[in-house]
Amino acid sequence: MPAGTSGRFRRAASYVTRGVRTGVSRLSTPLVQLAAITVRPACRPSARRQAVIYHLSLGTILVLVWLMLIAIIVAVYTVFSGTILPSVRAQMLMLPLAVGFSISRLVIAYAICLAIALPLAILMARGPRARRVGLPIVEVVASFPATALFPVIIFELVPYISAEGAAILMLMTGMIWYLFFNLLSGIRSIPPDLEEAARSFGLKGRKLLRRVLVPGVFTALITGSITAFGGGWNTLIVAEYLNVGSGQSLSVLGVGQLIDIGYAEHADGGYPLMVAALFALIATVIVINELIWKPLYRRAVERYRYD
Amino acid sequence: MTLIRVEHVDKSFASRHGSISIMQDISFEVKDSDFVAIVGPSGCGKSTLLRLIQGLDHPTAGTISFRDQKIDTVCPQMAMVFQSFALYPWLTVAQNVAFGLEALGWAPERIESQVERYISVTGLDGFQEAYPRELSGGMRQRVGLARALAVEPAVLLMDEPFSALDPLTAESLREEVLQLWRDPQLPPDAVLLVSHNIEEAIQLADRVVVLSRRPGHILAQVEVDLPRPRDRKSSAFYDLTDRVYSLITEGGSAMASKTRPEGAPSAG
Amino acid sequence: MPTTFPKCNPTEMMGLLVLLNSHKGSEDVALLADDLDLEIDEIFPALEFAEVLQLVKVADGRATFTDLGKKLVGGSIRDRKAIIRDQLRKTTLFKTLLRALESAPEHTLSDEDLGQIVSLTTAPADEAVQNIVNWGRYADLFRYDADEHRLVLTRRSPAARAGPGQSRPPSSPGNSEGGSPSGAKAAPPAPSSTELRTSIVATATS
Repeated sequence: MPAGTSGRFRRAASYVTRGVRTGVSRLSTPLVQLAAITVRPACRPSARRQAVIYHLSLGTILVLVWLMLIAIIVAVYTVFSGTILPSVRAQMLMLPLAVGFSISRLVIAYAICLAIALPLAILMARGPRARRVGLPIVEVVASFPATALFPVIIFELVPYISAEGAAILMLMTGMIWYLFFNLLSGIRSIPPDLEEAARSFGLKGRKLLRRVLVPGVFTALITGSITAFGGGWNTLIVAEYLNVGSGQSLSVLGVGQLIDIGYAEHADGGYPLMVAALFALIATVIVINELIWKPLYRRAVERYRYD
Repeated sequence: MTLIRVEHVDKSFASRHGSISIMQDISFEVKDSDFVAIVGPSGCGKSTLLRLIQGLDHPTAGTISFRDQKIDTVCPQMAMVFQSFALYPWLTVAQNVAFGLEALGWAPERIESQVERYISVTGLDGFQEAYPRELSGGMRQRVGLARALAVEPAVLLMDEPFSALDPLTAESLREEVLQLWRDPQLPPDAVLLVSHNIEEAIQLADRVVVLSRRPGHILAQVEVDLPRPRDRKSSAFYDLTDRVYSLITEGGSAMASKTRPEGAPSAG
Repeated sequence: MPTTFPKCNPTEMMGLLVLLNSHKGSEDVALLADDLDLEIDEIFPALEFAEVLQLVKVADGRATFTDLGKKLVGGSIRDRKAIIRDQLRKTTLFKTLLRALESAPEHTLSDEDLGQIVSLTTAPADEAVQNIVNWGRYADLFRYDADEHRLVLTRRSPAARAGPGQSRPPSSPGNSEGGSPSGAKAAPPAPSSTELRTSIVATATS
């Protein structure tokens, strides 16, 4: 071991890194196990129950950790930027809630996208005719700039589905195609002998889908979801706050909204809000990446690869 | 007793150029305790025939029956072993072996003991929690074998099971399949093996069904009466391989063949 | 007792033995290879391994079964495993490995420990570890946990652990773990890593 301060520093740094790494893997393992359980066939109900409890308690811990993180960001900013207008401060304290709302919106949009993209991908993957007709259509639709649709959505649909519904719809446009194309290629890259073997043991229909197709597309699902969420975070800033002209705005509570409000009012001291909201967004994305996407992806690579 | 009866089976596929006939008028039987091999040039439809027999596909004409019952859907008394092993990478060895049993709806405790038994029988002890990517080709095919045997089929269908293995490993697995087939206390009762390797077919089977090139029809069914373990160098073995080679080459197609040792008369 | 571990897996060696058996138990090595259209150096690792396990004797370019080899080839798939297990136990490498597993805390060894042990004996490097793990698993001497990346000793009944060279009682099918009165033997106190290292070096050089 090298002597002197540099050595001691290096040792300390390596302890810290190791500690963080172990901590992260310990936290993320239950999530990964839960994901794995949903794609594994006959699993004892007790194990499933255990996983749910574990997951709920972990979720609570994660929420608390992340609230603390936001609070720290806000506090740091307060310290460095001096006074903040009371209205803006109120909005900064809303930050954790805003992030929570944004995440929920993303999750809802994601779930709807999955419910559409997966059957569509299955249909196109297995039906050469469906593919010949449908794929060109999908490709054209997917290449259409979704943001161009937003004014239409706002002016025509908001009365029916509310600003919240419109926000989710807009998010979906930014997420669905990532999911669809990844799933499509994922399904088509499942080795055909796996399906044949399942059929030869008598599996068909929904059971076949669940035992072969769902685990088979696991890797594609993860990469598709990562990119879909990426697209979703991007769209948030546009979807949650809409300038409908003549100084009027339509918005829903969310981190995208707060970024936009902060920017819109930056002359009036909204700048700290914008920065704090941006930091909150970045921190959230990083936390989700480390604790959810990366472990899932690692698992996909270890366990779901076709060798 | 007759387990499988294939009667006047035709199979053709529709394509843009009209229908393509893969095989015509295939008729043969597989009886209890038979070890039958099907050989023929590539494209003659032998793998398709196996799938028709299992029930994964339907003949265009003719019938296939198991124990005198016509086969409409996948027959649960038969199980297949694949050339590419077809193991699920997200399942452990034990879970892969359990696959067929779960598909049949067995209770978890029964599955566990059945899986233990067939893992032990096929020599997979110690690998229960391993994942397929940790295994060599030979071990992977053993898992495929254990999975097929675990459902206790009357007939084991094998689609070029040793083609993806190196020669020594293939030798070992061939012998193990023979051992398992001969054991009266273990499934299967009969084996139907498809192979492009004529020597392998003659080494293992009691009867070799020789198919012609497409549209495949049966050129002959050659009985192999030699005692096991069979000496590939014996003159009786040479004669049989020559006979099958000539049948195939006269049936009009070149086929991937092993070079014959010196001194052996060349075919045709 | 040589400790070289040729790169060959259990199925390949079995294939060689089956091949030799079909040549009536004794054959010119060149002719053996030729039977499967292989070069001699392609069957050499399997031949070497079979020699290490005392199943085959190679002399003057000719391979012949030992009595044990004949017995193995005549046995069932399960019997063969038992014989291989006993023979593996006699090799220095596996003796060392098993002793380390016995004295390790929870009878497990991490990947790193395993690598260290292998490098202390005369076995060749790196990919040899994979080969060795494969053999040990095949012989049901230990299990490998791919999630935790570690080796776990398979518990056997005390009679079976009596040591190499002694005949084992006929084993029942599910003979790996559970059921054995392992509590009867007082577990040795878990050694510190330096003790472990010293003991490994000691057995390796013995």
